[in-house]
Amino acid sequence: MPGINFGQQFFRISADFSIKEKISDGTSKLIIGKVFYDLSAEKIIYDISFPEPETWVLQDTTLYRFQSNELLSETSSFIIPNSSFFHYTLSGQLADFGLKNSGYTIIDVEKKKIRF
Amino acid sequence: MKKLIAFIVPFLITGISFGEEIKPDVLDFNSALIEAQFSELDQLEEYVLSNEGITLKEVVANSNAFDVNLDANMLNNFAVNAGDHPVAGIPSFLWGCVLGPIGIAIVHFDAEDKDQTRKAIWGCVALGGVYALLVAASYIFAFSAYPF
Repeated sequence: MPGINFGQQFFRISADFSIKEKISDGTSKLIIGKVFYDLSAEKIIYDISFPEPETWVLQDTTLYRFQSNELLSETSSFIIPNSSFFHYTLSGQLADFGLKNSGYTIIDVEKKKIRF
Repeated sequence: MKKLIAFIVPFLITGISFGEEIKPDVLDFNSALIEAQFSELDQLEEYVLSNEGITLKEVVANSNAFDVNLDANMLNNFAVNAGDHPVAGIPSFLWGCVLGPIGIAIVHFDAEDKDQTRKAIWGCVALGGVYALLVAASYIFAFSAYPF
């Protein structure tokens, strides 16, 4: 019964990340760290090592920034953990990025070829 | 709040998608050109990864080794991009300035962000200041036009 063998559900994910940006004013950005996501807690944690050690915790619609276990700031965010790539990966919704459960009905799907 | 954002974001995306005709060359993705532009950052990334725990200050001290003009406040700017979103895209100052205490209440309960509430309060204070100036100006005009 292969269905039963696939019964194990993953609920945590971690990944190394590097964010590189080039800005029109000639400056550049490089942010390096690790990211963790817990499906049951619906919380994204960014453990940043460069440019400065910092921890960002994204829960619900709030972004908390910590440095040396001290809260630096608390701001609202448009990035919602349960609408993130990590959530869709762990909950098996990556195929449609959660659109089926968003309250909308898919009527038609059109594919366009993009040149790379 | 989450449901509200989840409902609004698809409208914003479709608005951006259909608001302007996409030029054909926008979809041309030249990966070689982009990789070439990021080559200095790639070198820096390798250097940082091979020197665990190194900070921006230490990299700047060795900046001769890298031809990269790094943004000194990259984390702050990145966090602001991720977090600074006023209610309905309208600046919080305007909420307070136009609607007064009602605007402050809307910002306070919807944005749930002390900084945004503070901006709305400053907007309300500005409104009060303008109102006080207008009242003072009208009294001055009245007394000057009809002196006792």
